[in-house]
Amino acid sequence: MVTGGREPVIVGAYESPLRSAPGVHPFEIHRDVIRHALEDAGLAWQEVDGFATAAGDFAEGGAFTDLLDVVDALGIEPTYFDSTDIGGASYLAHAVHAAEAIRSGSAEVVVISYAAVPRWWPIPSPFWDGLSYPSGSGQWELPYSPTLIGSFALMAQRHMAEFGTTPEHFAQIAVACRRHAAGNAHARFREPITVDDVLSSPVIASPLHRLECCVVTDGGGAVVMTTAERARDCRSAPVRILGSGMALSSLRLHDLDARLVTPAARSARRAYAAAGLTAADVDVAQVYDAFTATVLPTIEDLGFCEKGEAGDLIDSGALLPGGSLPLNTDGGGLSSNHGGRRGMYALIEGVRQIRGESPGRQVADCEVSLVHGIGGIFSAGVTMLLGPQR
Amino acid sequence: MGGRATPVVELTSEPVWEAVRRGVLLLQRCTTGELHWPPSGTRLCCGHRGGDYLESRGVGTIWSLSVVHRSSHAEPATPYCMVLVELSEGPLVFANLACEAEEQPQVGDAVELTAPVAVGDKWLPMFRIS
Repeated sequence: MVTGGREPVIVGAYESPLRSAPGVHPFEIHRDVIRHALEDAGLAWQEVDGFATAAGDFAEGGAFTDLLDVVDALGIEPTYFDSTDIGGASYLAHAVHAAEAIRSGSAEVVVISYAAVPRWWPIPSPFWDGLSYPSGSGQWELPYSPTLIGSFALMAQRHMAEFGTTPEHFAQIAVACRRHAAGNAHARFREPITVDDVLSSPVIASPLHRLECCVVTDGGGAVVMTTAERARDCRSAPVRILGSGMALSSLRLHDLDARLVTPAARSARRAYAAAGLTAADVDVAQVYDAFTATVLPTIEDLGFCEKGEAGDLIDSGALLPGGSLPLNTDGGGLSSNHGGRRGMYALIEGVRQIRGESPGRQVADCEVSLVHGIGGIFSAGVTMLLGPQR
Repeated sequence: MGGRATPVVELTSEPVWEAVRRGVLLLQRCTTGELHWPPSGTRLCCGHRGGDYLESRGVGTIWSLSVVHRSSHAEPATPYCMVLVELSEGPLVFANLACEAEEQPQVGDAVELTAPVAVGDKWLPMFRIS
């Protein structure tokens, strides 16, 4: 494959080691992660012409930041910008969009930055639990008080009834993420847990337990993208985007049956086709884990096994360190960090694996790194396949 | 803030809310013959605001459910049951299941409409195990 020229590459990545940041404003986190990511790339702020951040990340006082707030706070004037908000997958969508902007010449150097402080300022709001307002078709759903985890629990329960998946299968995902987290000095939780620990933790929304829910952390992260040509002068080893795909569906529950096969199936199909790869080529995967229930159907739809057979794949130990499909090697949202839109952290770990910079959890000879983000209630799927530049 | 979220009712949904008051669930029937819940005047499948309503028999089976033990909503009190009911006519309806914990509802159980609960000046369809 010809590389070089305007091919988009990732040249900078930085994840804040913060997990709890009382008193730190998200703008400060943005500034710090951007500074570090640019330093990683060996680029100066003056060279940046593109900027992306999602609308609606958690700020102090229960407020939300958006693109214009952040642009103002940072004092920047980008000519390419993106504030796509599709929930947890937003930052992966930003990266896919930025890649196209760079390829087409609409941007030279794009910074994508994420910062949120939901632990400092917990968001115990019915809005957040229901993910939307009681208008439109939401007028027929929000009055029933759906919770975020309950919504994913509906999918988990159906998966169990349809395919014979068990609570133990779901629990093993949390156990695997914790095993990986042991190798990540910054992970929120690193002590090993067992399937029994998970299943004996309190039920939050049946069939899901407390230890099947992600951690809530303050923090942020940034990535820097530019052309392969410009990357020759960068400090870091560029990471190529071998292929990517996106898919969108409904946020509501009344058509959850249509998402028994989640948008991941469509986004992954496009990503594999663009890369000329299959699921069998993937060396390591970061799959959005707000809950164990977000992961289990998704690994099927990403093609790692047939629909309904995730339980067997999990039983094989595939997701564990040294397994055939090491999953969420930084510990994922279940053990390392989650600030509401984890796509950024998944992307950064995916990049680190290709660069060989995941000490304590590095997958050997990592050539193909899959990153998949989920937004809403299996509403959005964004799949990226990353690899080293030859 | 107390109570359940109050529905923001639109012009096209008003007759459907009125029907619930009478204990009836109205499904939207597009000109293509497709049945939809919830009603929407803007689905692209018809290409225009067409069709009419079909009165559901109000019976179906549990497609999925979750008993919620922790919630930020003021009502209902936990534990409560989020349920997706597959109506006999086909569409899936998200609702609450009025049941006691010892009933232990399961996927596939037969359910039916029961007395609606008040929310603001509207009435909310509810299901129970039949």
